[in-house]
Amino acid sequence: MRYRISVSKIDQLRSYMDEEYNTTQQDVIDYLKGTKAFTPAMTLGTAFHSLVEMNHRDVEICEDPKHGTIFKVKVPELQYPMTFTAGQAKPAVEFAAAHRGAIYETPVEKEVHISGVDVLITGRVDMIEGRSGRDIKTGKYNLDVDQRYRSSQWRFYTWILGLKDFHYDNFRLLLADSNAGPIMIGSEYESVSFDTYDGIEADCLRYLASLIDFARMHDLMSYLEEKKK
Amino acid sequence: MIKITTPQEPLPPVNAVFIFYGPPGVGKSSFGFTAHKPLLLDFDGGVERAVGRKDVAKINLYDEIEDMMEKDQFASLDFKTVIIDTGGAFLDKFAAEYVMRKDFKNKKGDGSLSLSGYGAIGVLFQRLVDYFMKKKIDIVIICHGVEKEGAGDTLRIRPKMTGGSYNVMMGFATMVGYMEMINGKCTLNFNPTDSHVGKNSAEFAPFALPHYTDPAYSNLLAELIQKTKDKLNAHSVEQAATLELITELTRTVAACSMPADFASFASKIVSHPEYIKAPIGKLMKDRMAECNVTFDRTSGQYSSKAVPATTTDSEKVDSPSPESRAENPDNSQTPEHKARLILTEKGYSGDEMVTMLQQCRDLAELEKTTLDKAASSCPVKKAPSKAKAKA
Repeated sequence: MRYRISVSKIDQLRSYMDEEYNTTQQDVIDYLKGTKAFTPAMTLGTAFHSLVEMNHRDVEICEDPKHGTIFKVKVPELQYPMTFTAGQAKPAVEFAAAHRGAIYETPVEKEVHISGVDVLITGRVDMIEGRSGRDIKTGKYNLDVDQRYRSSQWRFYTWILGLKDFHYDNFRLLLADSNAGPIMIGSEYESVSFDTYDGIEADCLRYLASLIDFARMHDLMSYLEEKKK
Repeated sequence: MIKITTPQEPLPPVNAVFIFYGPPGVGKSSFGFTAHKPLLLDFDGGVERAVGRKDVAKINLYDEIEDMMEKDQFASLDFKTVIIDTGGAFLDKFAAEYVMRKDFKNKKGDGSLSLSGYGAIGVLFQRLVDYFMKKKIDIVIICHGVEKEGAGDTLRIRPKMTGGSYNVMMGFATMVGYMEMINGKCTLNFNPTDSHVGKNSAEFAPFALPHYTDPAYSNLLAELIQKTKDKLNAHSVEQAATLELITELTRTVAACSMPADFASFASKIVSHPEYIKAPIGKLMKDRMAECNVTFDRTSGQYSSKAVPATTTDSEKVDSPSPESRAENPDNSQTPEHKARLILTEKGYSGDEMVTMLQQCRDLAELEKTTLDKAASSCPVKKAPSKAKAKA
């Protein structure tokens, strides 16, 4: 029996322990069980994320008689693509151009034996660029360096991949409400990076052990079992 | 507008931005004076207690800094390191007062900084860093420490300043070190720990500072800064080499099409470190899916999936790129696909195919023609390549 635990699940518990975003114990339980609802703002974030990655399977560039060049982005949660004007897409397009050599959406796995069980740690890194990792954040808020610093996410990816540093690229989406949901009226870009350090592996294993303790306490281990393919 | 330096572009000459923080009286300002030709900008009047004091400029208003930069008065002073003492007073008091006085929208009703005020401080700090960077002057920021709540009931110490200023400063930091007294000795630790924040670009181990009477103390910070810059420059060179290797591997995997190609490629990447193996392995899986090639974990064999009877052999070999699929769902009709077929017939495969396709793209752009027509004008190879022979 092996357990499959994602980096995002581990960080959800860390977020609760650090009392971020009013995260509750029930939020962590729901997350481990795999139930999560999407909001329109999150959908917009997902679309902008695809735009930054310039994934040709999801992003279609078209000419519109009224708006000129527009970007149509497929979003799994929506039946129709989300549309960005050239002005709205500009920061994402510039960012994508500056990181042409990056490889996107790399799956990450690491097998460990901890707390008496075998665990496959899993995750997905937004961008890998040489010995640097990058995570693209989109949302309504400015970059919170302290919060990103506390995150276990960058520590796991830095440790597992042997990276030199890990960057958070934050696109703050300036939104306005409309009848059709939020409309993006602009964006601001900020970035911060954190370096690898002695003891990063021990910190990661401590976060993982903590999640296993939590899952055992709430009888959630069955949700973490690796499914047979 | 933030200037993004691409990984392929050379980084400008590296200057270091060091941050030291810790409890009062631990010796932060004294340690600052062990930097190379330092000038200390005193923002909170704490320098009187420092040992080994060197040049100090007492700052009364942030305008004095702006004025010195504008008139380039710093250039006439022979110093190589500027010490900001303390970072909290500099950003939260002097810079904040300056931006609020300059623009009403930077101030909230209660007299504190607004969100745009923090943005203005960021711009101000960027200008200061840029100015000293151009002069090849390193920056050392000294801060008090403050306890912040961490996981559970634990406390984590970090440089003392408001959240917005902290975000601004940490964005620029090369190294962040915590100073504290342990067994009567002042120690410096750049590693992040549960109890304090840190940033350790140079990968220094924690160490005890020699006593200030020890000759080794006199230029200790100068040595640390130099070692850090050497390390960063070495990292920059290593990063460029890694990116070059990744580009090469990316081109190679794009040229793989047959099970034997993938088997050979997999054996090549297996010895690479994880930060190369993982992303290139991902590209390889994507390419295998395009080429209908599968890997059997049990047997360790690569093989071709069964394809519909209508698919020709040549189509099995030459799958179009994901870009061309997105542009035209009818893969067999894309100019790229036709160009690949033409080049295959002319004896190109593997790396040669990648090179020739690039040449065809350049030619097609130059002559305003399609990729397949450009491919038609390519010379025929005399002998088929190895990959072709295997196929």
